[in-house]
Amino acid sequence: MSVMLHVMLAAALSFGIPYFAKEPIEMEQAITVEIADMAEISQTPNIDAPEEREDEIQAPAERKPVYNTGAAPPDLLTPQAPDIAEEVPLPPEEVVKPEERVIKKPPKPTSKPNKPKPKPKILDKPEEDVKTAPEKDITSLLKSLTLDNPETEPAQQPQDFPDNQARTSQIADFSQDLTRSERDDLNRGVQPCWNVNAGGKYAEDLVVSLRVFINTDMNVRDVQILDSLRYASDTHFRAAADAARRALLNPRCSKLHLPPEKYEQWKVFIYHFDPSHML
Amino acid sequence: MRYIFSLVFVLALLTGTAVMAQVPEARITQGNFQPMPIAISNFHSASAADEKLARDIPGIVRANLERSGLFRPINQNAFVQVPSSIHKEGVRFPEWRATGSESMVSGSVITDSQGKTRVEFRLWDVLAEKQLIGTAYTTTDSNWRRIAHIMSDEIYKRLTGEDGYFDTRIVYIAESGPAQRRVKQLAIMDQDGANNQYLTNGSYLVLTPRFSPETQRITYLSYQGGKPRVYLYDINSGKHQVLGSFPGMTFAPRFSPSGRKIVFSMAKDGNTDLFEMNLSNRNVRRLTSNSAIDTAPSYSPDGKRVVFESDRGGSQQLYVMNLDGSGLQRITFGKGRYANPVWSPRGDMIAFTRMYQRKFYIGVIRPDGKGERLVTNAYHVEGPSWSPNGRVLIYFKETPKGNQRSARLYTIDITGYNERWLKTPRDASDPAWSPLNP
Repeated sequence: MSVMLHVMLAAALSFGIPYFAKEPIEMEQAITVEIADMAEISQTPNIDAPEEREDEIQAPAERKPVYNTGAAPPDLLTPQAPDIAEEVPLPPEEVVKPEERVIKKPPKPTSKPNKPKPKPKILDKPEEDVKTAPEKDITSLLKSLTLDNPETEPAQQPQDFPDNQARTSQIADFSQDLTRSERDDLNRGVQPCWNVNAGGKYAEDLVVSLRVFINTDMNVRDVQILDSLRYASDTHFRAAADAARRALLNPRCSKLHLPPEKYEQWKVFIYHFDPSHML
Repeated sequence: MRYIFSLVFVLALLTGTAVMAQVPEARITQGNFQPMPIAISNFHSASAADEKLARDIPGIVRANLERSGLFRPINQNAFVQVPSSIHKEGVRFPEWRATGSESMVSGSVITDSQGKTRVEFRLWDVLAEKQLIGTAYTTTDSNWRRIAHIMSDEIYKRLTGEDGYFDTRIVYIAESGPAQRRVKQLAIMDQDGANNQYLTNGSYLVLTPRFSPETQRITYLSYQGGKPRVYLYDINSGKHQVLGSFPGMTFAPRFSPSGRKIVFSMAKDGNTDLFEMNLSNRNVRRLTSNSAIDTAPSYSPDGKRVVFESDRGGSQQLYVMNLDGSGLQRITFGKGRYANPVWSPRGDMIAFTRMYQRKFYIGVIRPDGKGERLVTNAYHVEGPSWSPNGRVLIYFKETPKGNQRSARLYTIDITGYNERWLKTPRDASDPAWSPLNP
């Protein structure tokens, strides 16, 4: 199939292009956008800090107290804003580009390629039974008292956030190369490490797409955030993208649950982190 | 022949493009909602004199982030790399990953011969092995707490995307004495409870302080001389000035987002309506004219609308309205009574007090009236105020204590979790959260 396509392409290039090249297409001049690289900015060789700013903020003059309470209260000084120097450069150390990571784990018996994998136990409802209600959103995760069953005492200890159980993916957006159970297996492996900022503004709209590169042992080798422009300009998106990337790089979750026999198709794939349907 | 070649070319392009673009995709829709594990190391200090600051500053940062409920500082006993090693050799990321942290904070403190302290800190992504923030501050030794709060804000913003709220203050009413002769003083403190100071002497009643969102000014209601008057207190100058005498006023005014106007309710001609005052020329204009009681107004963050409570519908409910009086919309329809609405600085929520069957609740609702949630309740809970980033609410709860009542301040995350007691030297009520310090 691949050879045929290449032959066809070569033939097309040899004979087809002249017929389409008669009228050149006028292209608008591209707008160059330079994206600042944090590593580049911070890796200046001079480890010593740059000179301090000269416009140092002075402490406000002392004021007399207005209200005399007997013992004169101390002056209420507006806290002095500290000088902020320029960004501190990184020590002159080479940035280690992500390489093949070998995470040491106890040896596992390798499964034979032709041995059928046992189907994982589906602990939750099968996907067909779960209807995604359009009106349900991330606020369903949020705590809400009811008038009928209020708390009786004020909380003296900080209340922990709820412990979400792993659930099967509710969205039927999947690659045709993975079966549903394989897809659910993949997501279950990453879910414990993906932290969502549920109370953030518009958190349900922050869908992050990553290009994932994996090694033959299914460990994540590299992760690239696809929407780099938005990453540079939107702090909420940047935080969500970093959280998604951390989920894949976390040692607890970086060995992806993908079938080894499908490595060639899945060694590079796009992974969408979509919090909008979290229930 | 020409047409055959063209057809072949088109087919080859379409097929080749489809093959080349066919990168498999997957989608994950379930995550976690847990505090982020973060390692905050003590800072490196070049001299013994700076060792205390090198411990205290990260200690404040640790406490701030942990109190937010969004972070879980890793126990320092789990750290392998010491501050001096970080300073000299750089971060050994595998060791920090082994602690279970996803981010790490390191830094150093140096005091020069003139008494100026330079504090440098870096925030690291332990998993991606890269620096996220690197900043240095210089200030006097006595200002070290503020450096810690500013650092906390930077870390918070970088990791959550939202503005921080740690470099702020809270003004409140400090209460003491028996219930029949309660002494109430205006007080102010840092958001973590430090640096508490009293601004009035307690010889007259003071109520409901409100912070300007843009300037370091507070309004409060005072009954000095037995008459209710609204005062404007400037923190920078320390001056109190009378804004006016407003008979029938029970709440202090709220500032507009610019800080140049205030909105309030007042009884006039036998009716309680909403009014707006321009602080520069003291002109007052009426916003509502209705036979019902309209009170407790609060501006939207864009300054174009107000939310207020009114019984014009037959029961005490919340309404949203444009400042010109148009677009009136009732947003609550629940059982009981709604009161004291406060619009979030983020604009996406309105907090309120709700009363039903002798119980009090604090809740939030969207400005369109949807998504109402009750986040806490008590024998008596009231007076919600937002942090400047709209993420945290502060309020006070009263609990019966024999013949007395005990009043305390609490904070809670907008999700309804992480309720915390904010300790004060005495009983406390009516909190108001400042904007970020300039």
